Amino acid sequence: MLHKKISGVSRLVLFGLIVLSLALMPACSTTSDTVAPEPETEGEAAPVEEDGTVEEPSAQTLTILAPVDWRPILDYVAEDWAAETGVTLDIVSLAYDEVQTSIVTSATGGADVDIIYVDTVWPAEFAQAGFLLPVEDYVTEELTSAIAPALLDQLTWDGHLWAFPYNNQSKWLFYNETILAEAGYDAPPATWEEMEAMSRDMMEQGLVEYGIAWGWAQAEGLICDATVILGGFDAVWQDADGAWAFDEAATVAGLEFMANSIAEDGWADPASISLNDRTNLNPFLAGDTAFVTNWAFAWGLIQDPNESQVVDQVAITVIPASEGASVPSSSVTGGGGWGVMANSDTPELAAEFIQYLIGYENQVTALSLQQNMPIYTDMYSDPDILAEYPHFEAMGPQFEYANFRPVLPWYSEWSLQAQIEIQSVLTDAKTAQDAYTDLYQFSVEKAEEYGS
Amino acid sequence: MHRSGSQPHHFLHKVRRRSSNQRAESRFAFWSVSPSLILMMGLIIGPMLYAFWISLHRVNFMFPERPFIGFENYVDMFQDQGFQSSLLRTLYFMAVSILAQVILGLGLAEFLHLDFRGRNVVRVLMIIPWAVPTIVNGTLWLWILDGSTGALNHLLLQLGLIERDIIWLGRPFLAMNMVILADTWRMLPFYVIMFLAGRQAIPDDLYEAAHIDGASAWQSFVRITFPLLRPVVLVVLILRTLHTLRVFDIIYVMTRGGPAAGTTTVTFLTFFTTFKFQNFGKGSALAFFTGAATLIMALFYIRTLRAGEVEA
Repeated sequence: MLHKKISGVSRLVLFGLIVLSLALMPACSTTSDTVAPEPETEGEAAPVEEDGTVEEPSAQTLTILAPVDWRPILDYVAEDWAAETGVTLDIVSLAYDEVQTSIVTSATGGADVDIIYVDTVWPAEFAQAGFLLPVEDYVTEELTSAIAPALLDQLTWDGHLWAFPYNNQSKWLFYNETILAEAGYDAPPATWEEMEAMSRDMMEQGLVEYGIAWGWAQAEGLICDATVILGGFDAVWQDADGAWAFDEAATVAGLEFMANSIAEDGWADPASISLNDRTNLNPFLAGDTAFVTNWAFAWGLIQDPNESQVVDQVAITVIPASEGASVPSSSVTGGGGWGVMANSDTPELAAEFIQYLIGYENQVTALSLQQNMPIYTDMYSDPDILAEYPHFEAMGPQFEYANFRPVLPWYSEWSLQAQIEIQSVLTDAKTAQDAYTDLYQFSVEKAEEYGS
Repeated sequence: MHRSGSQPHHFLHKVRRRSSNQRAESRFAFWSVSPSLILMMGLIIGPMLYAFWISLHRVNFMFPERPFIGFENYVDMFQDQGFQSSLLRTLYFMAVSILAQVILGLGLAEFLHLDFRGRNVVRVLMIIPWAVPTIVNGTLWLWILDGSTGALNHLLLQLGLIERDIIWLGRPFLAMNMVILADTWRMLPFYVIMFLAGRQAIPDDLYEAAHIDGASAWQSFVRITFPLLRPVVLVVLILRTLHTLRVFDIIYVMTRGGPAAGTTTVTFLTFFTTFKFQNFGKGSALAFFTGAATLIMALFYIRTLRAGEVEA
């Protein structure tokens, strides 16, 4: 029956179905232009406020797309917000690695999302793509005077601020005081060279398997660590004008340091090349390594007896630099903020919620709900906060030496290429010199192609 | 005795009624599937055509204009060294996966065809890996292959086969083969089930006759088993070729395309290009290339299968 030749009438009907389905296809797309209620009477205009602004239609729901790490604070704030304003917060939380892809598909697909989390490396990309609204007009003098300028700088591109800063972040050196003491050390290393020497000594004494396990899998974490280490050899990616500035000698030295640390006769775990900045904590939490570099969230895991075998044995300090560096420390900026989607029907309301979310009191609450590093400078010297979070005192000085990753609207493309080049060095597929040359050439050529 | 007019008339009436019934049935079937057809057209064919249209334009969020550029995205794609490398990796993954899985599948099917105690239990256990979702499978192998704490290193160290930990996912070529291993572990049951079903349909008489003629087990396999299993093998090859050509999920879970792009296949490159680089034009071109390659391979296999049927 199904193999019978389709009659002329059936063919016509089938053709009509195809045309109908293609015509119906645009109706399947989600748009946000149906939220605003139609005026009840013909000719009725939307009410205009005294200051000339147009009253936005009252929205019952704001949709926010965020990493799952922020879920606890968002749930907490959403409840208060709903009680105060009657506006519900619809939280879409994803694993961090899925957030960027989800933002791209939401924005291009016209999904109804009002607020997104903007990681420190995303503002230029999302702004270039037209996903975000600039928010500098919403930022008050009160906020700018209460936070470090770098927190705004890292969310600024092309003269506009693209997100409200929400969390401060950097990488720190966590070290096991107990193991160091057993080895005869009463202070953490002040340079990379010192760390190597201490690590080899502790390995020889049988106190650790390796000095450190890095998180150098092919992922953004590798670029963060490269920024940390290369900065410690006086190599930064861009100068103040945004031009490529990673010095050849310094970059090659930094890359060679990385490769040598995990070589066969190295002092770091060779498995580092397949670990990320979560899994590289495992050997440290098990007491198999003496050092680890990581973000602030690591402290919570280190002090959690369900996760860690080194509770109350660990201290925090700034990440060292190399002996000949012009700086005593080098780290990388992290964190991010909350942006307002360009296709949001209620940008004013979204901005209002964000300002509520990043308010001082909610920042204090976030400390207890998750290991969030607050944006307000005062918090790092507040006696009450320091009494409850004494490790903040050790963490504060790191921000001064935190370097930016490249600020580019094509950052993802650059980052992947840099990851491949760096891993080529780590896997002995390329020399550090060749990797530097290839990466620099790629960076310059792409900048010319994209005009930025 | 011929009844005047009644038998032929009755026969023609039956023929007409059967044709009329068949036509009615056809119409009913057509209209029954038409909602699904509409859905398919709208959700699959329509977006495909739109994606092809995008691939003929420069749709890159780095540029505000989106001009028509013809097949420039395709030309750039073929000239791109990254694409060429990813294509080679994809072909390697496909060839090694399928070869290993066919050989192991045939061997296990032969083994499970034998009559031994507990055969049914073994057959059931054989299916378990296939029931494991890809994400779980990938995560499981990540733990097994972990360079520091993985079970594989621990076992090999205990057996004295290695002296120090091997970083199984730390070198591009080794990582690719580990991904193939993880994929093989999960997909092998599919091959075994298909080959076992085909094997059980082969009459034992043929083997008895071959045995009487002095044929060895290998000769029986080569001269009897494999030729008669050919249609099944081809079907399996079609399905697995289509799947391995578009491999993505196991790589995403285990290596994210690393190390040093060593496991970045064409599909993975498509994902990066589209969703990370936001170059939708080039991403669409890559996707269409994969689709076209899949279609060509499927047609080749189907033609081979039909040629085999004709020979039979």
